[in-house]
Amino acid sequence: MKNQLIITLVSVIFFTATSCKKLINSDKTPDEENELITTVSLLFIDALNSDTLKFDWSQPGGPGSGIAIDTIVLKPNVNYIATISILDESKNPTFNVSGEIKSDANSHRFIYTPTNANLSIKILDFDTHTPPIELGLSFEAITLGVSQSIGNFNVVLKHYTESAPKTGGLANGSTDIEVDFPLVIE
Amino acid sequence: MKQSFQVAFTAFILFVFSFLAPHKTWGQDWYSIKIKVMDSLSSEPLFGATIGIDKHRHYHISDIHGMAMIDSLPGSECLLHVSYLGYHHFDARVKLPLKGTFLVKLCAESNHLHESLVIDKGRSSGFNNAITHYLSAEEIQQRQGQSISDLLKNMNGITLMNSAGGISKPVVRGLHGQRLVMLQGNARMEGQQWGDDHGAELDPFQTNGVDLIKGSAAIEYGPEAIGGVIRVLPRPWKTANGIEGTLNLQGFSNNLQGANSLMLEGRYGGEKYFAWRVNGSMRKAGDAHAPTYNMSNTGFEENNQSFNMVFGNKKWNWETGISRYASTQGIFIGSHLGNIDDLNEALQSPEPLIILPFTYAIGRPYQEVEHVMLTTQWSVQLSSKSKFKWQYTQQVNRRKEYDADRLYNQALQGKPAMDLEIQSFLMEQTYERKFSDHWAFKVGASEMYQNNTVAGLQFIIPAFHSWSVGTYGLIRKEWLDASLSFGLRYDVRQLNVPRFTRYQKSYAYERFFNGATAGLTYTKKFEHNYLLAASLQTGWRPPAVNELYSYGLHYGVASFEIGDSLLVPERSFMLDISVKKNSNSWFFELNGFAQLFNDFIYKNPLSDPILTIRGAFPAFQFTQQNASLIGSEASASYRPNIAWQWESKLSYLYAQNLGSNQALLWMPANRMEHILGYNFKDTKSLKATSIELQSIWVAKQNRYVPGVDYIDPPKGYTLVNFNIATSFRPYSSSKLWLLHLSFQNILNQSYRDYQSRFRYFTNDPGFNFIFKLQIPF
Repeated sequence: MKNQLIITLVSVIFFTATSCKKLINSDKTPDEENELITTVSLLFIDALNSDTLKFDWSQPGGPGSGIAIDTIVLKPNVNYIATISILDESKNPTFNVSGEIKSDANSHRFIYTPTNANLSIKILDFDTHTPPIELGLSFEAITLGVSQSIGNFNVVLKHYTESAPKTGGLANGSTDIEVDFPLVIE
Repeated sequence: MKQSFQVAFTAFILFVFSFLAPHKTWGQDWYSIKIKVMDSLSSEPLFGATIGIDKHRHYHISDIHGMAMIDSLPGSECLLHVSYLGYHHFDARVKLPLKGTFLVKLCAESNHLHESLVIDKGRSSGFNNAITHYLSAEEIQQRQGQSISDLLKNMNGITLMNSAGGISKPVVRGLHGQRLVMLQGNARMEGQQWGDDHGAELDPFQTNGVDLIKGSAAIEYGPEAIGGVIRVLPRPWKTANGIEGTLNLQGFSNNLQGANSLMLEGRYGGEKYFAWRVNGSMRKAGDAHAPTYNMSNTGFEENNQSFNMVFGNKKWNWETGISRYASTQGIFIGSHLGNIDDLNEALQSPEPLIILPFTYAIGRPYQEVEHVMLTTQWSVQLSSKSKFKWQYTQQVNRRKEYDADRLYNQALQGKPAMDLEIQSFLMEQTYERKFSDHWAFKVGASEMYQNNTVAGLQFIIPAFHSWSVGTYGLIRKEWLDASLSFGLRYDVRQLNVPRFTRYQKSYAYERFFNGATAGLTYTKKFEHNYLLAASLQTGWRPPAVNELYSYGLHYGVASFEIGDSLLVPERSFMLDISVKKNSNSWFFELNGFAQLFNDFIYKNPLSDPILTIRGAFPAFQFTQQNASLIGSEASASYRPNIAWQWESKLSYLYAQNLGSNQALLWMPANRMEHILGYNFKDTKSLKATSIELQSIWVAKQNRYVPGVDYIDPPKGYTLVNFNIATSFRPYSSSKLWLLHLSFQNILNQSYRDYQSRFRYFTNDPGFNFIFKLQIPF
């Protein structure tokens, strides 16, 4: 009887002790969200005189926080060569996502949609599909007309997967970035 | 092809039902039966047990040898109800005439005073329940599905919240997750209950029965029992020496799922005994199939192990068990979306945007869950009237959720989006004592420490520690035809969230909660076998970590969730009344309840979406308001003779947000179920053969707030199922093998259930043929 009690107690202690090991070193929440995109940056270069214009859409505090949006102001009747940069400015140094997009060109695509503005877009870079499909890290923006126009410039980055491939068309894939810039041509 | 098969099949069933000759009527003879009442473990006779027979108005009392003789019984069968203070009561249908003595083995309530107001013990569902006790142990039916929740949904008032594939969690009268306590045996399960797509982490094969505990008994389980307690009962320990086992084999046609389990158990010794049990099970399922398309990436796999043992003698027993549940569950591929535009596109499409061919492979997104639980309990019979129990439970729940892989930072590829580990240490002590004049009390205390760690790429909830201490007392008085019990409980909880940084801001929290719970339950038996039970209850629940501090995007449903760190505990007041009547050929139960909440915590949609670089997301903020849940469940069954059986169930729920005077969202729709069953006479080779036709009708949830959810609730639907059960001996010395064939959704109906989380994107699964074979040896 007494023996059994001792066995019982010893076993309980054994079980408790062996299973407590994991307790140490445990109260940690990761310091920050690891994958965060804070900024979409557009660079427009006048093809003739190399004048450079930079417009940012940024939300440095992450989702739900304040947003700073530049108004894209372009001159009429100008050929611009533009590039887009996707950045995580919450990291030090800033993490440039564009490189990753370029290296995985076959599963990404930028779509630029100006509305109410005399602006036409032509994508300049392509992926390695046969036939190649647009990527959109750089594009040509051609402004037309003489009169002032005020509109909107919508930027979408689509992300495709094996189950929703890029070859399936624009409707496929999921949206990684969708931002709107006010657009003025004057 | 499939369609025509189903039509033919339905025709066949109708044919079988319409041509079966009515059963022979039995002669009016008078019989007597001898009953012996004893303790299930010690086999000691129980003196003074109360024996009720539906044919007699008065009660019979067992003598010093546990014996009672009951005569003047008309008809072919009678219903027996045996109760004894400190023991679980026993109900049985006894076929007459009966040769020999009818043995009633009562199970001691080693762990709690049994005043659970059980809504429904699952009469048709073949739980180890009152009505099936007249079958021998070998013949206990099983209606296991692919998860524990599939078993639970056979109870009236319980519905399921599904996430396409293998994940489902029970919803009791509209409440789920953190408002329910799940017990595996006596041990409380602690996981990440807050997520709608976090299923119950239990092996359905290890289930011998399920209890839904409400009323004053629920106060034993602390603040989270505000919506009820679901107790999954393990197999009782063997009472005879030797080794035996059971092999289960199952197949499901819809997702080409195979499952098996092996259980071995043994017992040695007499008065001093040792018994053990080992369980192992495996399950592997491919994509589920909606009637017209494959639901991609809804496959899952599961494997479970457990080992339990008990040492005991006349005075005490010590039970220890360790169990492990591990599963990998695919998440429906059409559900992970980039932003609201993607969501709108998916909502407008009649079919999922991505349909891939069937596969067993589980791709991203998926979740991996592992739950390991160790429990040890020691109970001592201090005297014939008093008992002490000590229990310790330790468990680890690890949950990793992998999103659709769309990371840019290569260094992060392959890491889970969410990686949570919660460790819980729980200790409980109870002391109970009964007195000779049929009253008893029980006091208890519980202490718990929890530690939740968070890793992964996004954190919906921060890491936390919590300490909870509770203490309670219960008293109970029994009369021959009535019982009254009252319980009171007080809990405190300290919640600490260590300093963490989110989006470059730093936070740390500490909260202290305390509150009281009280419950009163009264039951009374009336003439003609009416049983009335009424209970009044008040409980509270402190806000959980996700409700307080979550902040982030849920890619799964493209929504942004925001906690409120200032939430206060919610309090509920509940009145529950049920009336039951049991007669020889029919049974009914009517149940009504009203639960009022002060400061009910819920997710409220914000009028403005949250703007992010990914686009706009609808936002939901946790908030609180007074609310009421009013409902009713009714069930009735009629059994004109041994052969035929008809049963109907109905459940109704009205949930209102009293603050905004609008419906509470995402509450289960009203439903109705009918079962027509036929039991065949035993033949030489086939025993206990039965067939049943089941129809389940679910109404459209008309109580919603237009424009708040992405889409309006889906329309109602009707499902038709057909089940066959039989048992046989493949060779003369074998035990009875149990065979179940089930045809679910025979009409291959396309439907979407309001509580299915993926109803935005896909129909629910279609026709399913289930094969189950149980081989005891």
